Amino acid sequence: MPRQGLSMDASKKVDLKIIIIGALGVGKTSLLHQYVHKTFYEDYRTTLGASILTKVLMVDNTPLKLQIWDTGGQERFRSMVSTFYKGSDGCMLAFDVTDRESFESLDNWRDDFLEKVIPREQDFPMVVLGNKIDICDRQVPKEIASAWCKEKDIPYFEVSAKNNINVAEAFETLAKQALTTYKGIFESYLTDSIKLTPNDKPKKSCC
Amino acid sequence: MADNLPSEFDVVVIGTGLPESIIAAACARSGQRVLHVDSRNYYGGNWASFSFSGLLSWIKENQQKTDICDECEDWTKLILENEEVISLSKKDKTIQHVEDFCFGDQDSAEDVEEAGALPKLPVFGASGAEEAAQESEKECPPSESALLEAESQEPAKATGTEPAAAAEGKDAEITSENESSHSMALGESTLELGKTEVAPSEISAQEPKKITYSQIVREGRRFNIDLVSKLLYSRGLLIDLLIKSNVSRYAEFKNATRILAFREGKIEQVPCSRADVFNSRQLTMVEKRMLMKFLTFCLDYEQHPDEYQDYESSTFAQFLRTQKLTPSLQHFILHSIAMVSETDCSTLEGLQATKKFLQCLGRYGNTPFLFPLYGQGEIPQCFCRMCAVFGGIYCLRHSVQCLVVDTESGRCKAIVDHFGQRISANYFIVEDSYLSENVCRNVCYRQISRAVLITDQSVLNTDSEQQVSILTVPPVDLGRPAVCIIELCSSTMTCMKDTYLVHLTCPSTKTAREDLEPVVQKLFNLNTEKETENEELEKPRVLWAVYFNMRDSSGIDKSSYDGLPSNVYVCSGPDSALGNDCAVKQAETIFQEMFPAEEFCPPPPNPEDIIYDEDEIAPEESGFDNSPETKPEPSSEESSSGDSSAVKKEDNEE
Repeated sequence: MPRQGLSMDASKKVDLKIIIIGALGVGKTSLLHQYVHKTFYEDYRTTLGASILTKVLMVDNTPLKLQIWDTGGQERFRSMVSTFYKGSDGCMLAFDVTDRESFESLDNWRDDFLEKVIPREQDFPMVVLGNKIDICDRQVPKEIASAWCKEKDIPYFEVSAKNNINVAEAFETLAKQALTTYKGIFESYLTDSIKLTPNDKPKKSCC
Repeated sequence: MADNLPSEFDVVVIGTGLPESIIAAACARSGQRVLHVDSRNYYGGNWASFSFSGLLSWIKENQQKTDICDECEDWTKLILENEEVISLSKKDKTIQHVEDFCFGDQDSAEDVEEAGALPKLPVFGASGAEEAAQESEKECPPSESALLEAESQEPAKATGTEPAAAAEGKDAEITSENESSHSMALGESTLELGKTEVAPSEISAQEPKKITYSQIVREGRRFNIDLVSKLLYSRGLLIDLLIKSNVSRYAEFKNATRILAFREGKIEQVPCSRADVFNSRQLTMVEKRMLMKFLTFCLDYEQHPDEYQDYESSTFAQFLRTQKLTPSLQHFILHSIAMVSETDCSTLEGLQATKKFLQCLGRYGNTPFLFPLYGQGEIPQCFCRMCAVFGGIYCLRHSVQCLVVDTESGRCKAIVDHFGQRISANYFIVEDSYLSENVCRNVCYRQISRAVLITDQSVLNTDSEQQVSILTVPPVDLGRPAVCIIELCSSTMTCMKDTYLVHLTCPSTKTAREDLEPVVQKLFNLNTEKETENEELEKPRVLWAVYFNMRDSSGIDKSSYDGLPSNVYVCSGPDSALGNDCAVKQAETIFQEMFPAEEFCPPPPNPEDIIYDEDEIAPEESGFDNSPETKPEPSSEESSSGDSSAVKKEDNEE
């Protein structure tokens, strides 16, 4: 998100927007909930009600506020609002290791993301998560996924939202990448933006 | 990857403009099953915003007069005996008289590709802009359509006819059908391109502000150009709704920083807050006192009826002349603060408009207005997202062929989409542009004249370049409408660095170019020649411009539409007013008609919890920043896990 440039003041949190994309049903919401709430729901529902989860953590001595945007289910018919992409600082690509098609569509998801974001000088921080490794019936071998990721120079994580394997590592790696990139950007947009809140205290009326 | 649409919903919404998106969100929030479709591959309809290449595609589409002969599935067999059909429109007819002009050197832009976001190749050039040009682009410069096609596994290869990147045309002529010369989209060629592009960049590095057309094309994705030009009143219906519904969390905003006036051939800043007035160097002491006195009166004018009741049948302009105000103050108040017509606006209306302006001062900044980061086109999308989050199903690129009406009851029962699928619902919301000519034959539409300019400096240069300004230019002929101008700086994320995006709007009298070009000529330098009059040199240079007329379907009574069932509601496109009250009111009215017992867009039940890492980070001080999340409690980590699962389960059970 366009924020005050080069703010190294540790007392001020760095806000980063992370989005999580991938085919329907790969477990994006579960991954999010596992990471943020440390919970997992067995029955599958499309995201309902949750849309942005926030986690505060320390990375490299910098307090980070990660705003992680779930898709809201709009990926079902490839109708994501571009608002979803705007201002994102990092992207998590997820697929289901037991669903070959979800892996094969990664190219499209990645292209979609690169298509929709505003280009920057640096590469966009990205990680790939192969989810559901807790299920034995794999369709996507680890080597194949790793090779794809290596070719694109993206870190790859084999994860399980259900058993909480590697989930935090994946998010934290992305957060680190995003923070490094963020610090490296010289933004000419040096003014903060305004976020509306029900709690805003109106300034003194000027007239 | 194709998934089938369910065939039954509670509400079907056709069109993703602002009013219908608000309705969709309200319906989903109140538990209705919503299907929200749009025939286009982008959100927003006439409320949308585009990258530069996206806008060029849109321009091309609207300049072509082709009839669309879509092969559609035969749906007639889906219609039962006791049913009738209302066909929907096949082609959008709301945009006319589109004229675009390039004032830069287009030749050098011929082979320039829009910079993408893929990893860069080794650097050749000096500046970041050059690096971007050399990015290895396997795909053609993005057009909105290319990558969203579900069928296309290789969006890159799409077609050679990518018009977006290199719109051609001679200087100052209308660029109509543009054929991009570029079928080459391979990395190597781009590398070579990169080499040749270095030279121009070195030149531009010496004159940092000289933006070329090819740079605009290259940086095209930094532009977010709105079809509709509006601002948000800080105490207006839209802001209130965004906050109430918590949709605000999906967007960020910038303050409009300046109110400007155009008087006697010059642009001046209008002081409107107390601080502005006191600090103004333009106003004399006497004027400052006059202005403060008058504005203070306006803020609660109803309490002083004796001050104005004698003038209730006069115009506001006449009333101002009777007040102790110099002509320039009268101008500021009439045109830049009240922003009302000199001839058509009554005293009471003018006072009310002035009061509305003043009440909005200071809530977020020195002016009454906010502007959404990335442009107005974000707002409908934010409501769509809220709808999706509460179960709404979203399908772009999804046309609807017709409404199916039960002959006996006269109610609409279903739609048939272009795949030949019949989808039933209880309520139908249709945006005006989707209705056929038959249905609209008795409707008298107004028009809005619009222009968008890309310029190289502000209309009023001051210390800070990053200003968001609104300027009202009064009409030369008294009967005509004033022209509203909004100038956006790059930190609004609507244009590239060192450029400004200038939006002009007025209710149409003639074509947009006829209505607006005179104003453009007064304020801007349109010459492509390097040699210009000194006077012209001071004015900002227009690098690129487009004019178009947009249908104004606001304020039309539903009964004007022919033969619409009672459970089919029509949403209008954008209106010409500055704020968004019309869209919000419309949405609320329609929603309450459908669901009188339901609350309109209440806050969602479980605002985002903020979860802290085990290494305790101190909770934020309240008021520390303006984040939309709930204020954290120290024990949020424990409570959230327990509570959230309970709450989420409730949601899931919906």
